[in-house]
Amino acid sequence: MRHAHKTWLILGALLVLGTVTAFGQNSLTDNPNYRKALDMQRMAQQSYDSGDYQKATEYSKQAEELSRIALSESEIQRMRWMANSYKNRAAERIAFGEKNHAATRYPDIWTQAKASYAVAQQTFDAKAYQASVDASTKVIDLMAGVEPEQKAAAAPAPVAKPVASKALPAVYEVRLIESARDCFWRIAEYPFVYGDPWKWRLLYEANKDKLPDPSNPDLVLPGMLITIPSASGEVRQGTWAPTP
Amino acid sequence: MRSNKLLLLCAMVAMLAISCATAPPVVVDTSPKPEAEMAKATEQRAYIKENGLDTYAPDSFKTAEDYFAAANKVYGTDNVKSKELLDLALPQYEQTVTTGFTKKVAEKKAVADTSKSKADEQKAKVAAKDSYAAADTAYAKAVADAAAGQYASSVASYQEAAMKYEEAATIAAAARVQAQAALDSANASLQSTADRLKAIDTEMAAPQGGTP
Repeated sequence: MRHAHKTWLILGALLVLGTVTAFGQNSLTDNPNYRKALDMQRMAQQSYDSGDYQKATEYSKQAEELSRIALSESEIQRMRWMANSYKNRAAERIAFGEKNHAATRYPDIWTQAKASYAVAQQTFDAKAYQASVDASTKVIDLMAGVEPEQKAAAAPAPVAKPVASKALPAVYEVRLIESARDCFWRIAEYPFVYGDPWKWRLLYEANKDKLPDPSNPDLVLPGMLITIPSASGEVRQGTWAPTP
Repeated sequence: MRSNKLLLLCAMVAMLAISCATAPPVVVDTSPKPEAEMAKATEQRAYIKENGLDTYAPDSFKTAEDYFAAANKVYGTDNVKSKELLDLALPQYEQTVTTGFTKKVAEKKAVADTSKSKADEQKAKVAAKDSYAAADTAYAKAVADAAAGQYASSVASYQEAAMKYEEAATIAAAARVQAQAALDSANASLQSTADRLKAIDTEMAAPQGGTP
């Protein structure tokens, strides 16, 4: 028993260490040019302390230049991440549109959204990230007017359990769906929740204390009962359960 | 009448003869002039003036000068006395040279030491190595010259050392200001970059973040 406890402790420590290490490696402060800039800064200070002011000046200038390059690279990385994030959101909206037959229900919007999505993809590939973000934003804005189809067609989309007349559920039980794992983003997108993934933060804030790691909204576990707060004054009651 | 004139002439001749017979004898100093002593004293005086040593040893110099003036007064008329006075003046001039140089060398060394400290404060040994090395060389020569009794040369070397240390300190100070400015600028830039990178890190850690 004691041995097993010890093993778990060691495994836990290794997991934490691994996580920290992995997280550290992903930090932008690990940018090679930024690290070189820090080295140069150290060398500049050492040279200054020893009286070699000429070298101190040279190293300082190099540190500043490397710092500028690191910043520029990170800004590009940020823009790439942002463009990718927006493109993913646009892709989700396009998928939402396809699932809800937007092509036939909103032909004009759909055509424009698809064209904008293509632009978002092309500009992303061309590293024109701001243009890609703009195109993705256009897709998201266009698709904002697309309502979800009331009837859940082909997909085993969850159907709200008639808890009472037309009342929406107040609680959702997280499910294990292999093809599209439940997360706050997807849960918020369900028609009986908000029909809008952008409202994921409402769910997160209301259920933070139930999460294994309250600071990590990505980790929700199957079986967890998620409280669905009212987003715009709608009445909610009962627990949603999928149709068998 | 003619006999009167003859009488007057005779009286004048008699008076002339009497006056010539009572004139004092001319005194001539036959002893040799102390030329060597006078030349040495004159040379010493010039040397002392040239090196400004009279201000460093005013007492001995004044004594020497008094003897010298007195000796000059009787030079040629009382050569024995003049030599005696010059013999008294010369050691006082020697004393002026020794004391004067001792004090002057010490003063110039102190000036050089102050300049050296100033240069060291600025780390000029590294920052202005050529000037500092030249100063060190001059300083070492000044020390050696002083030890060898070459005081004039030692003074000149200490002065050169002080000048070179000052030059090194000035060069180092200017380089230091420039380096400090470059360091400050680099530190500010790195801090600004670090802040921004952390902000981007935080932004990118959000699950669905990003505001264009």
